[in-house]
Amino acid sequence: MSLNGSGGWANGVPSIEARELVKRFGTFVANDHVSLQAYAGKVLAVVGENGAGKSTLMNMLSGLLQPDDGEIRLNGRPVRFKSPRDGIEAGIGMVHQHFMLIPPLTVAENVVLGHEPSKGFFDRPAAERKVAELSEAFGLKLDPRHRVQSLSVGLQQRVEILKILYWGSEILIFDEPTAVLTPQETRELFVVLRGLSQQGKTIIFITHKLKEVMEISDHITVLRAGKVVGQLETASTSAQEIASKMIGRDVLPEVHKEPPSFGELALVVRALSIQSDLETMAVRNIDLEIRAGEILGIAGVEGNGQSELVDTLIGLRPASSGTVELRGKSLLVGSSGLKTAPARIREAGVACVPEDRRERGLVLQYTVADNLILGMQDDALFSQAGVLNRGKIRAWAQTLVKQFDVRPRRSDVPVGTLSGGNQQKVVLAREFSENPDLLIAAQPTRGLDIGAAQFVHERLVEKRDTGTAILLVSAELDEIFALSDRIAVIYEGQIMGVFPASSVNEEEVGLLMTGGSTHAAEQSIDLSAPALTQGT
Amino acid sequence: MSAFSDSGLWTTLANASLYQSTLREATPLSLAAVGAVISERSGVVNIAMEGMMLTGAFFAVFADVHLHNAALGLVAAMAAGGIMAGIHGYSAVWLRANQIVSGMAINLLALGLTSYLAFSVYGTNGPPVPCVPPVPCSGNQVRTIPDWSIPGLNGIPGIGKVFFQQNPIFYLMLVLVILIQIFLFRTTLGLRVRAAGEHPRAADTAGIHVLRLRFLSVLPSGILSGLAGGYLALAISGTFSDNMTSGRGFIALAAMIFGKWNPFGAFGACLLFGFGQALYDNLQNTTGPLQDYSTLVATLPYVLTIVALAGFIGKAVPPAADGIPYDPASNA
Amino acid sequence: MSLAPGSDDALERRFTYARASGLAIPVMSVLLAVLVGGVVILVAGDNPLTAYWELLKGAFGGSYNISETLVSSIPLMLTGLAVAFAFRSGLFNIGAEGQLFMGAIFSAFVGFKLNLPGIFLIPIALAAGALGGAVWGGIAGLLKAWRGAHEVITTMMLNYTAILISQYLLEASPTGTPGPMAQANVLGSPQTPPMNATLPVILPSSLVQNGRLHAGLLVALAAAVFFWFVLWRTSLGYKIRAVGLNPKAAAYGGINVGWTIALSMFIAGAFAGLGGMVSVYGVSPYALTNSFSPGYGFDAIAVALLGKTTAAGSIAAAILFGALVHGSTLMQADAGISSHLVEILQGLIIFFIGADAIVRALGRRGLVRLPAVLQREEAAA
Repeated sequence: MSLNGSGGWANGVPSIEARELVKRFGTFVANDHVSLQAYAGKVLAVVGENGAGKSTLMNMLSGLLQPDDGEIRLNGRPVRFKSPRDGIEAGIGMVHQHFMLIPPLTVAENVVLGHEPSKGFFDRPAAERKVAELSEAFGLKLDPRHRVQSLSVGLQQRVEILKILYWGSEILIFDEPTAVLTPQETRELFVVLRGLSQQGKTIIFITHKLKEVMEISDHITVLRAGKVVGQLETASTSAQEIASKMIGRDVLPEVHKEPPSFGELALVVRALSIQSDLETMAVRNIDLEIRAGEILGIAGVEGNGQSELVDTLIGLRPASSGTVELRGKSLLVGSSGLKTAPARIREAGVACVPEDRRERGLVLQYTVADNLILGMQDDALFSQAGVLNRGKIRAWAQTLVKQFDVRPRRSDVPVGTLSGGNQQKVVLAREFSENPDLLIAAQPTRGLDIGAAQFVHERLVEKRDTGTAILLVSAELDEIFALSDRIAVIYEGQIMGVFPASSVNEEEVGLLMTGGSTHAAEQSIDLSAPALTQGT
Repeated sequence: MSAFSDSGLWTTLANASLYQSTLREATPLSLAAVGAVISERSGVVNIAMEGMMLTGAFFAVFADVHLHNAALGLVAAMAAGGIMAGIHGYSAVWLRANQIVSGMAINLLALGLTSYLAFSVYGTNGPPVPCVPPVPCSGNQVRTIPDWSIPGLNGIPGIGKVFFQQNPIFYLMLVLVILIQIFLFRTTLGLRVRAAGEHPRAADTAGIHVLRLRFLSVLPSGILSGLAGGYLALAISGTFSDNMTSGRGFIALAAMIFGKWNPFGAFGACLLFGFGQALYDNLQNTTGPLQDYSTLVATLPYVLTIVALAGFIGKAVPPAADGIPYDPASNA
Repeated sequence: MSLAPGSDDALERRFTYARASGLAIPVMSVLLAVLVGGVVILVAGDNPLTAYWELLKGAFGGSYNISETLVSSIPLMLTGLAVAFAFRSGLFNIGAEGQLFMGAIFSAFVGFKLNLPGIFLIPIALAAGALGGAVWGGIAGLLKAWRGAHEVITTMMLNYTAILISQYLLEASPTGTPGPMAQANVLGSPQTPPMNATLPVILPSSLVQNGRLHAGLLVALAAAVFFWFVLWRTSLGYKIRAVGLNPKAAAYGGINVGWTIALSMFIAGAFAGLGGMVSVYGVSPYALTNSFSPGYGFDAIAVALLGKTTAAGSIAAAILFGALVHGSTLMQADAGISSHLVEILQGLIIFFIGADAIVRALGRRGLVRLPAVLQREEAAA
């Protein structure tokens, strides 16, 4: 339903309003005539899938990006921001998804940066005093003298919030603030947000988590593919309604899946622990098993150890302890940072569709053909005595291009000129062609349109049916449920449970993904309950 | 030890003039190095100190001879270095050119430009010669900058000559090192400079004009490199000759890295490298086996920098965004 | 499925432009450099037209000058290839000068130590030169791969280290103590004993009187072919380019990024090392001296950038710079204009290539008419 006809507070003048904003990057239209209104004392949720254009919109509202067309109004008056300075001046503060903090500086230095208490000499005591006062006033406990690099993610977010409060911002934008938070931290954040809202601040909250939308927001703007597809009032809508607007592609058509026929154990992971880049434990003592012809889906909010797990399985990150076996052959004996060379792991029969195909899956400037042999360039099929056999490579590439329906149907164009879906087909074609015993597919349909996503899903199921063990890592629950034979839920580096896909529903899994308790209700699942843990 | 006893090393080490020339050598290095610290702390890599120094040296002599005034010569040196830095800053900051490429271009350009101009200005009569008081200076001689002897203090045995019989630019350099250390770590602007070099987007979102700040931070490195060149020309050699900086800009770069992008650290490294140079020069005046290795001693600054960069003696880590052009309009 | 109709065609067009525009930036950079260089000449009180005419005449006027231009360009070809090759793995090799010196030292050492006929000595010397440069390049490569030491700084420091080592070998101290490799009892600037064999002159005197063009040219051309072959026809080249373009994807594909980087610096160093060898064996006095390189390794950066880090481009750019070097000596002699004009031009060329935004911006404002391909590229971006 539209806000304009609904009366009440919505009839007031919005404290900030976007009118028909357009933003293009090259030929890509990130925001296509986007409008929204936010009001003082209210929380506006802006929801949409990854790539829907939410961050671009917020970057325009905060002055970091300039719209190509359209208008921004503050309390009814049109404004133009040339830089974030103008946005800050106008009272707009944004907590970015990737924190805008300078790790080697202290909390106080980060907070006052750009608006220091004094010109000339930096008045450190004054800065620390002001930050201490603010953190007291808003219940955001922090020591102003700590260096930001020594703080946990949750505390770093507090620094970000303190920073925009220090600016005196009246309009507070939070870009996916809960993506990196634990449920406990999320609860604390929501308390802060409600407090700020009650003080009359305008809050814009960006997320794709519907539970949070329902819990915290007063009204909702839904974005899809750069366009506004819905303006709703939270009180009179449901998560389902938002979801259907947000996803748009309705739901993926069901992938036709034969009942699995499992073979012998392919992958066995025992007591695996892995350190993150920050030297905290990213993966803690996990056990996993995948049989040939089985898809094991790992469900979890991003950043709960999935990336580290995948990197270790393909040899790019050492494990701190544990073992990994493929068909009884040891891939990794985890003691004090041991790892096997990625090339050896590939030879042993592991293939991987990495989560970010442009960053990790493809050399964008290489032709399709050259990308199709990445990692196999030394195979006897493609090179003899170190000299590439161009003819064989071309013939091979042509076959795969046809087989995976890559458009345009030629192998001599740079892969970077292909659409996202076709790029992903190139990655799939390459990884499938190695006939792996274990195929790792990380976020395999991210950013793909519905047709391409369905193509990828069908191919993954086909691969399973030929007896390949597949480890599917995905943040999208519908993908996990569409493909998996069994589902493992990962949270903070631990496996919260492994279930046959038919024995659980999305809600139960969603609950475990967030550590076993929702933020709203204080209900929790007893993890030791036999129904939810796999008997090994 | 006994092998050294007749090598001249001990005599050399015991001689105060070794330490006096250490400070003499360290002066231009420090000026260039601490200037570069500001540039690099703001996120702009500067490998062009050599060229900026050389430009400073030429224009110091040029202005000095034309205006009959050494102080104006120094001003011209700083202006010339500053202009070179302005070119580097413009391409590196505003045009987002590769900073290494831009720096190499400045070095080559400066080498060519100064040699070319020296040839066309002094080509027929030869380079100007220093004016040596008390003989009255003629029109086309270089007014040099003589050392200061601080009466009373310069008579202190040992350290008197080392510290109190130095060029005025040496004392200026000492003040600048301290001021720049204070500037970077004790002032509001210094905080912003460091923020721009660590995480320019964070600084931008906090309302700091990153591009302007970076551009302005490149300038002092050129001005101080120019001053270093002016010092070499007017205080040390009293003339200009082609490529007269002979790699000092690169040693300053090494010192800056060795000093971990910190003014005091860079100054310390310059003292060390200056000591190496002074030892090299002084050893030549001695006899004995050690003298035969004096050229090898000169490799020390370079070897030590490689060792430091490889993390064998405390890892030298640059500012996180050093060398990465910042584009405010990108969506990243 | 997600491509708009007709986009196959659009794709193909974009692809062709990318290839065709290859020459636009280098050519524009040279022209701009000549223009700005002309202003400098004018300001210094000389006539730019005279200067450039004399430069051109000096470089290409007559077979002797063409031959001399090529002689000057031979070491530039090899050092240019050294910079270009490392660039392909993503490394900026500032250290061709040091690698050149090490190649010269290694090859000079075998040249006066081994008393062999040329047919044996020259191949050994080539190998020694390549090895010397390779070791020096390899050090920077290994430090980058294993310790993360930035190659720009390490190679720059290795330059001065190599130059000083060479000085030490010839002259242990500036007061004149002879170094370990110096020829005894020679007056004037120190040098090693002359080589026991030299690279033959390849142009008959009937073609060029007193021509000095030596077989080093063949070495350089062979090196260029090798460069091209390794990069585009071998799996090693495939890996090097992959690492240079996207190290993450290369690592995910199982390529050992560190080793590939180290190897590419090793090969790059070998190219520059060969440049040192041909400098010692190709021209008088056929010995290692302190002044055998006027900065070939530094000019190499301009050569590689101007040549777009390709083999053929580096060869062409080296010839251009060889022409500048040789032509400028005659320009100075005949017109009294300093040969240092060359460095000005080189500096400007590098600057304009680095700041290619200037070229594009000038094109946008219509001050310079961009080649059509570039204009279309602009429109697409």
